[in-house]
Amino acid sequence: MKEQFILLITDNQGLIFKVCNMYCNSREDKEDLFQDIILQLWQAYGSFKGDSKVSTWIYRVALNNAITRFRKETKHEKFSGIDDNTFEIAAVDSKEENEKVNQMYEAIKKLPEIDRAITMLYMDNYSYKEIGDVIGLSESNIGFKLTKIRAKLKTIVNNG
Amino acid sequence: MELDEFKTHWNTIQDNELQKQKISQQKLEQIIMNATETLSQLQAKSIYWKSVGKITTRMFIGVLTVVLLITLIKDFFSYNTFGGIMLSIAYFAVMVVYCVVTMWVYKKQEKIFTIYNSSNVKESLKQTINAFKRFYLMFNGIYLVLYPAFYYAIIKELITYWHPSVQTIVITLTVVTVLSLAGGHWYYEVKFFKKLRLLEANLADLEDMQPA
Repeated sequence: MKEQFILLITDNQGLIFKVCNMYCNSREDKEDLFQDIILQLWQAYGSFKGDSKVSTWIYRVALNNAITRFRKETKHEKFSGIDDNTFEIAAVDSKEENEKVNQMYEAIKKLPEIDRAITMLYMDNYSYKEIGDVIGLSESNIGFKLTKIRAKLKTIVNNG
Repeated sequence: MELDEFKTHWNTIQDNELQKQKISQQKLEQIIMNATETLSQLQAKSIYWKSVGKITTRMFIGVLTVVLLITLIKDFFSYNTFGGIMLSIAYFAVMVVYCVVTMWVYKKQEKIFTIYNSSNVKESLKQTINAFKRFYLMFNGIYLVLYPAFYYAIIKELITYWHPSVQTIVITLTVVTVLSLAGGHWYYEVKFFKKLRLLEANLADLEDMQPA
């Protein structure tokens, strides 16, 4: 069972890192959250019956953990709020385009926690139904939420 | 840039991030081993106050045991009644119950935030918020009874040179109980309520949506 679990996490660690990157600012906090999520997944692994996709199950546990967990805010985060890796993301070759991508990425990270979760699942090509299953909303409400998120992002980006 | 335009870059960004952060299978195994073997240790380590509370409580129980033994020996050699010795044991039991409850509270308070992880986010938020509120009310209810009993036992067993009137004892117990409860509330306000309000805001955000 342990070997199976390790394989599962190895295959899906990118997904867990996505959640960590989206919900943590410092490297230390990311590592803490990563470990917490692994612990929670390991504890829940025995009761996972396979009634949803493995990735959906991992997302559900990881997002719940990221949103509800109790964590101590460090002084660094309290006063700066700046991500260690903010300006290291190079997604495209053009400098201007890259700046826009960075701006958008930072804007998503400034969204409320639930909106961030919905956006992340949408980015990962989850259907509205799948997003709704993870979050606990209906498909139409997810569509409505995404419209609001788009508007919020526009405001955040425009306001710098 | 629009969200859907950004979506086309999403995988590249995530691949870059993964390359930077990727951890080996060996390291993963180590983490999982920690998870199975030292789960409680890991949780305790992450929260400073939990360890402090545990150590303090254990030290307190140790000191109390010594005090009880000295009292019992003293009572025995000063030909005290059997009732007196039993009373000392009762006071000691109250102090031990107080310590055990305090340890339980320290242990339970942070666990609540991570026990409902398999439901959807909305359900998890509801369960977490309700569990925390229930827990907060419950342990304050317990302390409302336990504090006066604990402080009374302290006065009778450890401050033996003080012989106050019943009225003074009642006033003293009321004041220290109120102060202790207020102190506890302040501690929770600083440490947990900010998080609780954030969870409530998240839940409100989800409950604002009309069922379709």
